[in-house]
Amino acid sequence: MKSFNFFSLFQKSILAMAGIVFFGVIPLHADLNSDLAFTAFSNVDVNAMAGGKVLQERGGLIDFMRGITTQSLYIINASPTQVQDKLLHWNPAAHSELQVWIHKSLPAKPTAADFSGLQGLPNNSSVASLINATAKLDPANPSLQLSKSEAQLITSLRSQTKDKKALAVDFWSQVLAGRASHFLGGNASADNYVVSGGDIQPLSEIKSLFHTNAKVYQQYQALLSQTPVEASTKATPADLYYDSFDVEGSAALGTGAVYQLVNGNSIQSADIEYYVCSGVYTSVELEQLWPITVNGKVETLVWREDLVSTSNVAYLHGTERLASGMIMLQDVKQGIDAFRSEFKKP
Amino acid sequence: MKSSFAPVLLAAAFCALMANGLQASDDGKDSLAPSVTPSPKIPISQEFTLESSYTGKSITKQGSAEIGGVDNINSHFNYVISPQIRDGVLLRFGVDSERNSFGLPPNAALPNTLQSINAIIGADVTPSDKILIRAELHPGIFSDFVNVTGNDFDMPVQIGGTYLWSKDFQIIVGMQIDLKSSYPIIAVPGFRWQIDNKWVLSAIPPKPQLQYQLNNSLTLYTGAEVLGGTYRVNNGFGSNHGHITPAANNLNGQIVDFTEIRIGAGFTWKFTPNMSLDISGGYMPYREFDFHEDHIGFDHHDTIFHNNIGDGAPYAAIGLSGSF
Repeated sequence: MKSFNFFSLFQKSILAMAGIVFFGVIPLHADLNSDLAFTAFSNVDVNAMAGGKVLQERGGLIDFMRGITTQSLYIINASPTQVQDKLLHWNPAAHSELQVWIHKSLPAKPTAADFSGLQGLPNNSSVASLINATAKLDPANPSLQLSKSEAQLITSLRSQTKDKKALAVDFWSQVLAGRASHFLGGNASADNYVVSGGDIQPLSEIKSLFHTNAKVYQQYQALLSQTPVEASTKATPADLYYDSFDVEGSAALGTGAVYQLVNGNSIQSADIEYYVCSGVYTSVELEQLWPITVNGKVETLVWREDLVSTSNVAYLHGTERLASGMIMLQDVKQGIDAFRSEFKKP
Repeated sequence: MKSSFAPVLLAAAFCALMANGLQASDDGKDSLAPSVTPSPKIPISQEFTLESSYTGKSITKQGSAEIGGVDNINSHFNYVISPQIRDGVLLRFGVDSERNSFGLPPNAALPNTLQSINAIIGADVTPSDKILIRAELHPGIFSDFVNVTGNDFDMPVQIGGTYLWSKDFQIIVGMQIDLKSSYPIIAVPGFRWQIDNKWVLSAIPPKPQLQYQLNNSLTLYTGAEVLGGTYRVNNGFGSNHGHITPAANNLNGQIVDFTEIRIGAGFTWKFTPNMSLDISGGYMPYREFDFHEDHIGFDHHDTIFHNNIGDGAPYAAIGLSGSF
């Protein structure tokens, strides 16, 4: 962490110089403020962003107790179509600092066999924690985010498999395939997590996250209306994936879908992780990409919003909630740095 | 482009949250019509702390003269209501009351009670995305609560700043301004280091701790604690305790800085998402009553009652805290 922050300090001094050097930053459209009207940003210093600066804002006061959001704005030295493509095909698991253990694409109609990549989960304490939690899963009172019927699966699988890792791979392959099938089929509204005090419906969480910001929702109405978040549609996502990442020392497994839409001179992207097995209920990552000219070269202005629903946030109050937003900004920035580094590779 | 969602949870850990329980609710948002998004209300958070402890008898001296054993029952209550008036700005209003009730040997020139009851008026602000600042005024009565007068009024000021170096490491600086104390301005640094998923070094005065999270609801710790405060004794205190001559030792209406240092171990049990029970015990190696005149600035400590290191006593403490 220290080296990262020393780097940030160094980067700031570079940015100060960049502000002087980069005079040739011109949006390819008439009014940047108009484009950014739905965001938390206005009158932005594009010169500073061209030098690498990431502008960030906490989501502020939102009307959803389990939700927390942040917005970011930055420039990538690649064209919007290149960034659009990278959003679909980059592998965050290649960046160890992100603690993403696996991230793999799925076919349009995945079956349990399509999750065989889970066998390649690394042997570390985080993954071991998930494997042990799966082996000890109590179907009557699941400690992981499952429906009652999903939790019952473990009973039959235990009788077939003694190896803990094989059991976890079998079990989660079926759970993830089921969740993906329900979501893509427009039937995710019935999916839930059994938790103490009641059930959580991930789809309802996603809707609540979208409701936290009317401007952003309006901006993404056309795209979201093509997703199963609105049950009437069953559009094919641009990418369907499953992943595993660390949450407080234990691996979580999830599956999500990315939808994209060209909207005027910009490209919109919505990454909806509609199922996560622990730690986080759901998350959404929105991006909008505009072309921008930097020193005569077409690059991409990226607006990004991260929206997360988690039980822990519900019990954050006052300053604690402020601090959580501030720390989330730092982590989102780490993800952005990793993503931008993809464009520096030969 | 998903990376990791740990930050929110790590934030929770950083903030010593009341988290981990779940509360399911249907937000009633089956439609995605954008027009239905309500304007956020002003969020109001509340927090309270209720603590009590007993420290056993420790042999206390004035200079080198032994006056006998002194014990202490400390009670503390704190309640704060905190409306978030806009993003990044929270006001803080509340009340704080603390009482030290001493068991004294006969004829000891010490107050049997040092007590405070004060309001809390303050704010939390975030001047940048990495800095949190809390400033609080604590106007109230700080005295032995015998013949309380306007002279017993005091208004300590506390200012704390946190720099979020990273999600695992934060730097803290705290400052107290109390013009009646013999140290009118005290500033202390600290830090919090999340060593790994289980261990946290919270080197933050006045309660530095090394913490180990046994599970989501139970945290074990070992560390130190400094209890203390600045109080005014009544105008007849010296006369009633034979301390009016010489003039330098006249304790009538004097200020006493009280300090009790503890080292020990304990646990915090988060028994609901919003409530925690804290139980600890250990040893109190040093306690001091430092009398000085009621004026601004450092004094030369005319009369100090204290115990020698090694003549301390065991203590036990219990606390209940919550936030809503």
